[in-house]
Amino acid sequence: MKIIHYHDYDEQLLVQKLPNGLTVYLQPKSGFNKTTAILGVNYGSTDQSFILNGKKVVQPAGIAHFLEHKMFDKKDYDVFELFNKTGAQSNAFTSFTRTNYLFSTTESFKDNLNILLDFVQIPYFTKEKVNREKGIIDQEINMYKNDPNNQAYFQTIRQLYPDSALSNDIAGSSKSVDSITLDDVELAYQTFYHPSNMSLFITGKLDPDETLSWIIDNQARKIFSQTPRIERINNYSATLFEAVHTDLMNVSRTKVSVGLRGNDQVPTGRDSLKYEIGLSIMFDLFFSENAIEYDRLYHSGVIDDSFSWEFENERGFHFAMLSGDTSQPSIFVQEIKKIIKTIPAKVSELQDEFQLQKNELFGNYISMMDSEEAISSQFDGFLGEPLTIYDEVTILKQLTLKDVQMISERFLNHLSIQVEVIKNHQ
Amino acid sequence: MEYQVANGVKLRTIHTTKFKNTKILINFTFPAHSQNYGKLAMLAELLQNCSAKYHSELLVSRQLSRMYGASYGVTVLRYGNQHTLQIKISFPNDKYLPSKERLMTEILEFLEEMIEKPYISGVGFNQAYFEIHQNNLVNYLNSIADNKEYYAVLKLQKLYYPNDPDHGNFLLGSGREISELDSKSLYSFYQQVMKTSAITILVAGEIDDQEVLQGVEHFRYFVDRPVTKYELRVMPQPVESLQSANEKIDGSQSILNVGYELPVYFGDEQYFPAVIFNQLFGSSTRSLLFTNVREKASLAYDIHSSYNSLAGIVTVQAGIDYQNEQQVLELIPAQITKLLHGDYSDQLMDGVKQSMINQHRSEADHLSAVIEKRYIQQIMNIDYPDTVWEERINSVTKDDIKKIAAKVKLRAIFALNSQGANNENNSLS
Repeated sequence: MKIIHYHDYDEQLLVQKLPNGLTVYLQPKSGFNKTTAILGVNYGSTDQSFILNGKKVVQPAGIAHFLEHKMFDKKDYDVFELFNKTGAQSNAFTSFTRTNYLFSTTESFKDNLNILLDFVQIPYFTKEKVNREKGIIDQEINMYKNDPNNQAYFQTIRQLYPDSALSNDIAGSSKSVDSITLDDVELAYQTFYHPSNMSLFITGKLDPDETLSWIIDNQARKIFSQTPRIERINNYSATLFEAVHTDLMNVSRTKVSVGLRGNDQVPTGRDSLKYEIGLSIMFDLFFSENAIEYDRLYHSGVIDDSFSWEFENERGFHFAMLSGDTSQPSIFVQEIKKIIKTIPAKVSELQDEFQLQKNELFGNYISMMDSEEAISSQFDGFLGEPLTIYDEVTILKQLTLKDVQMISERFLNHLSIQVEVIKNHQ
Repeated sequence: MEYQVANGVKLRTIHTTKFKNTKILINFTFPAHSQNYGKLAMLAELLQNCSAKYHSELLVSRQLSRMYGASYGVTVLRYGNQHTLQIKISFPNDKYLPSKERLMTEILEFLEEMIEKPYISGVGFNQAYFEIHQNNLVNYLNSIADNKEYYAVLKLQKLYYPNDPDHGNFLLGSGREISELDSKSLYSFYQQVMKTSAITILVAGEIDDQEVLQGVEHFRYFVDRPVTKYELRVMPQPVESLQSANEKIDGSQSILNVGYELPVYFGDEQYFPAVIFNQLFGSSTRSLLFTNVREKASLAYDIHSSYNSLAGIVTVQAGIDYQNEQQVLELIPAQITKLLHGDYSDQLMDGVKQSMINQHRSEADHLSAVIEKRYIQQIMNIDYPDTVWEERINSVTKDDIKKIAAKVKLRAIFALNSQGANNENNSLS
């Protein structure tokens, strides 16, 4: 096993790639009672279309999320029952580009580890089970549709990336889910659930050598097909002219989201984290409570505590969103856009503010180090090299204002903007 | 360690070396009366965002960044009949900081400034400051209706306690109550809270008790005050009939909320069976509600129950299709009947016990949970050592669960009805 030491924080990461392609990452936490494991699949809602062994396949929207649900449903039991026997907590999440299966437990770690690897790697699908799931997912879709904040978020993405897989909800629509067949589910599974397309990250109470030997034994009991040759098709159509899109819902005040689609090429590996951290600091310098711009908008009543910004950088796309509730939607949009325009000229003058922001972010990373949930959810096993929060904090320490300026220009020079407004329909 | 800083002011220190951060929590408490709900919520806003020295939100925020992103917050909570103003701050331990400094000293000074030197002008809170946060809070309260699940929970609470605003009203007050507040009378309310509340300070991490004690003794409000004892447990007034109501909304899903009385409280002989009852009923992913309403009947994605052991209530919430409401309303009590007859597997019972023990042991990995547990022990005056806690969980039998199921009594139903997708289709014809 390769060992990476993080001496400043008294932590380490152990990495081993197994012969079947599965990469294992172990991050022991001394003194902790609990162990958390995440089995991640490099597959999400945007991987609807692909070329498999030379043939083009287009699957219904929501297939990745549907598959995630179906993994728990076995011949005569539900996987939750198995975890429940030992008292472990388990869950799964599907995002645009990943599917994660996880558990955490203080007891019977080995048993739970085998349950996790087996339920994801040994599928059981039938026509009846596929059909029965549709009712539950329909309710899940309706639950999200009922939430105006959720709608504001996904509508904005839809405007930024029209006619692409990103414009569909992660769970799909009632109609697309209804069209999913047993064949679709099997094909998606065979295509993407190969160990070479997975990573296993474990943190908390664990003995690295023993844990690795359990994983090796488990994997040795299974036979996998050849690694499928997949080419993902993600057509993010050319950006459209900037526009304001309005939707009507039951809301107490108007919700506005300004979406910023990045059209620049994001660096890979370690540099991708530098890029993300740099942009986070840029947004904080202008749109956090520390920023004079924020303070001005806050005191003029254009924004309030509901205002926030976020930045997403995933395989194939990256975007930012600035959103909040407001009674002055057009001024909100105008002001946000005006501030964004001034960033390139102003950012280099903010040396003191930059140092302050670094301090804050540094403290936030130290705070995450106490949480297995934060350590494991921050980890992405598909960046080409192992990068943990301990790496992120090192990248942060080395970051200069000049770096932030260059990263900002790179992002802002190739930006396209779409605005989503959710108004009350009465 | 426990220290009596003054009469009615306690300091508890919790020593642990496994975390990289330290946390301080200060609770100001007094009996819950609805006429104070809006006031305390507003006060929390004002103590969080400015002080005399840091007289803008920006200055507070920058000071927190200077202290390595210390996370500071002021909130309002309720523990049964206890109204609580909670001030929290957490920050990294000195040994991880780039320069050698004593962050604890700075943090205690910051807390003293924020708590004891609010942003006032004359005899009230600064008017402009007051108004902007008053406006924000009103907007927030009005926006709760956008979160339909939460809105339905509050509606059920109101229905559950008819003519009892101390328990039926929302803890943060209403938009109207907040609009009617003024900066002067709120400032006298602030002084009353500072001078008369019972105060508990909890500090956990790698700490030096003497340093903390010295810092805390410096607070001018942390002086003697009369201590009054009151009943923490909420005993609801009896109702003659089932309280039920519904509201129509435009939305894609109906939300059904059901409230049951369960007169078993934290510390009671039957407390452990009650906790397990709730897990079996609807709190675990193998619970009867989850299995039979979600997995088998496909009627809901979200259905869960909760048990409040200081209020003696079990509630159920489900997100469903409007046309299935009757069916779900029959399935919910049917699961209680199963628990009453012991009609579930031993395996389910064992699993629930295992997961409770598992979760209990995991709590030691979260600094917040460690502090919270210690605080509950203090106010309830009950301390279950870990081994005793686990023994009590393990000794619960199916018969104990039957006795709990027999005590559960339906009291209120609130439905937020939406005709959802069907309505959209029909509107064209």
